[in-house]
Amino acid sequence: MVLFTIAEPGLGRARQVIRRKRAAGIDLGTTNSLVAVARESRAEVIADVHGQRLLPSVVQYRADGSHVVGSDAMSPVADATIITSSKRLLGRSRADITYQLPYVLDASAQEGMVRIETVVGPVSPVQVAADILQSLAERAQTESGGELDGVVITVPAYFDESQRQATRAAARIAGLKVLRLLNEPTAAAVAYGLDKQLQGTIIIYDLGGGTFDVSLMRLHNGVFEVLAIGGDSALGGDDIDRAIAGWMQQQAGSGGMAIEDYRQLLQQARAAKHALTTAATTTVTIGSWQTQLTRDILHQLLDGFIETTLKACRRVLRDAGLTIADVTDVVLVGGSTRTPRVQQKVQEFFGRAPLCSINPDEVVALGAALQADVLVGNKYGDAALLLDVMPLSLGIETMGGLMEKIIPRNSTIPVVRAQEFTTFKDGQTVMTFHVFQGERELVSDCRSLARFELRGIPPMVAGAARIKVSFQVDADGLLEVQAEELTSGIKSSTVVKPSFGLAEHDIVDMIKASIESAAADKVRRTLRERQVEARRHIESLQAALQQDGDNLLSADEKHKLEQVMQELAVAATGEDALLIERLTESLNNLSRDFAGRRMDAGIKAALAGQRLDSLGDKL
Amino acid sequence: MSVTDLFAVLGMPAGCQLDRALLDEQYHKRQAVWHPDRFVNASESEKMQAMQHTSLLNDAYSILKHPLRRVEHLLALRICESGEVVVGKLDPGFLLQQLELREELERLGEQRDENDFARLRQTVDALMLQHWQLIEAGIAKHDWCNAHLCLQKLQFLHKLQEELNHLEDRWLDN
Repeated sequence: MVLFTIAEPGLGRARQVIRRKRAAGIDLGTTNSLVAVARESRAEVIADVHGQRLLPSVVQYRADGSHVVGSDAMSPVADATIITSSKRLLGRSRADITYQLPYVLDASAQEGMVRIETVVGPVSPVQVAADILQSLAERAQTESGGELDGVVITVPAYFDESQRQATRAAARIAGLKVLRLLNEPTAAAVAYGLDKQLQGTIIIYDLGGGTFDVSLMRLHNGVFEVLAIGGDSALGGDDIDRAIAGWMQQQAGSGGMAIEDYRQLLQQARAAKHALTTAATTTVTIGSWQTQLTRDILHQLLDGFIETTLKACRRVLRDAGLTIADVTDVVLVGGSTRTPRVQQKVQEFFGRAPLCSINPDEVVALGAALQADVLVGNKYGDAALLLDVMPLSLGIETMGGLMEKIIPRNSTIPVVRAQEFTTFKDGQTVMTFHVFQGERELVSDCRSLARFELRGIPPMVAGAARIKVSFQVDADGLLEVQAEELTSGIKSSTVVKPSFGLAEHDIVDMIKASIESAAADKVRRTLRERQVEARRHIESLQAALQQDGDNLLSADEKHKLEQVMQELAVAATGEDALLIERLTESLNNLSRDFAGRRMDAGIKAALAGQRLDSLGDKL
Repeated sequence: MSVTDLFAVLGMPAGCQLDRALLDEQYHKRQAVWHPDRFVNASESEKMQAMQHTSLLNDAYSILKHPLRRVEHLLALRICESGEVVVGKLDPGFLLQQLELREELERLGEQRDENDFARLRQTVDALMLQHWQLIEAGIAKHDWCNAHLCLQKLQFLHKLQEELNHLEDRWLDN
């Protein structure tokens, strides 16, 4: 018998094998978070071992120093603090939080970013975000079989500088390399553009758990160009839940509530909102009091919010100099767009049925994964081109507390702009710059981002110095400011570390803490890997049993295999890594014989020039 | 002081009017090469270069697609090339007219009247078109002084138009 080696042409030549880099797209949401990875030109959301694709953005900190992320974190236990919707606190100060929260903010920190009181002391929302990111990254790592080379994290388009910086800091603490912060609506457009070949002038209406974004885009031949964006970084499904909870409290005549009761009330409000997606009415209770919440009442509670979102749509069209008639498609993104009333109102406003063919919860993560695949270097050439814009104007304070805009909103990024200023006192040698973001005329109505000084200006008469202030915004939307005295060449620059952000040493401390807990993480990761391995093993064995189980095994052998397989399946949903390993091992041993018989049968069939199934037919 | 020719940056013929489809195409073609997304794995200096060049492309595009800013740029370019010193003074008649238009706008700000608002908008639009044509004629005749003077007037009118938009925005919001 002659054995031929059949090789693919070109295989003999030296060929460099390049490992496909591991990249993931992360949608860090207010209510739920997801992670997706791209395979070839399609992206897929990664589920956890229980098959759950959405990870509730909930972290539970326990008195023993451990923490739990996701659905497991939602059930209250003794000596633990549950933190929900913390995305709304990212990069915010106490003054920004004007509504009731289901947990307590650290009262000692009046300045700077808020911290949340927990059983283990004050926790920064950046830390909470980092814990969620880490949990998602683990999923992606388990799935793609190793450390990630980079991630794209999505942020609401309307996120300002401090919120973006806080997101970056969270990724750093989680040990992730951020390839890009991508605006959520832009990510959604990428998913629709690449997957559904959508083209034209598109409105992306993105109503999430805590934020609302509207993005007007032009999709043409692989170019995704953002024309204008608008929104509200503190408007979302959460506010609807709070409105329902408020209505219930008012109807029941109940006053202030304990934190835990309020958390449960919000949970009930959300459940009622979901129930009304299909039902006309639903029962709500506070203690022994109960009433019916009808769709009509829900609509009354909703309409004000929806009107605010439609106003933002109007403004975005106007900013781009377009009208509703120019819009060729409207895309719905975000879980809150599942609400029938939202869909109805959006349809009325734009005069066309909105698109939601890609799951509105998943579309952002999918788009982010596709872009991550490009940015990590797995794809070149025909890759899509994303042209995004700044959501809010950037400027500095001038005399009289006025806001001098240097980069207007909706400028395509990256962007570099400079403006000249001068001294207003004779012999002035120091000039202070205060950087703001916002649309209002007075800096007191805008958000303060950073303050820095230019020192050593040579003494001159007032108005003689020429100070050039340059603003540079990179493709992530992050700002760097530089000031230079032109006659002397003296320079000073700062990368904007927003006043509301964390100090560098805080971030370093958190990174240290995360390295210390890395050992614990490793144990967790091993468990996840075992779980996935067990699952894969069971799946392939099941397939093999179905095909050849009856031909090649005795009833007893088959029964034994199935029994261990069942035990392993149960263990794989649990947390006992050793048990999973032991059962996987014994299943391996038990199935080894079976695998050998299958191989023999396969070879026999191949020698006879026939496939096994046709062999079976002839016997 | 020299002026960077933004028409050249985007490979467009210089002029008051421009082929928008061609502008978009030229811009996208250059962005596809220079965008920072194409340089994620490049060296720091290449990244910096890419960022600076895309910023220039974005700047050029935003100026050229905006009619008033395009003409401002064109005129600055031409005057710079000619080496001429351009002087001109706005006539009192024009300033008086501006004053009246602004008073009308102020009145509407206090007292909402959609019809009067529409009339005011029409007047401003017509004046803008008129001055626009005068600039074009001035540039064609290399009459930089007149073109420059009309441009100043057009800038006044443009400001006024922006304030009209502002007011309309406020009405939309309430």
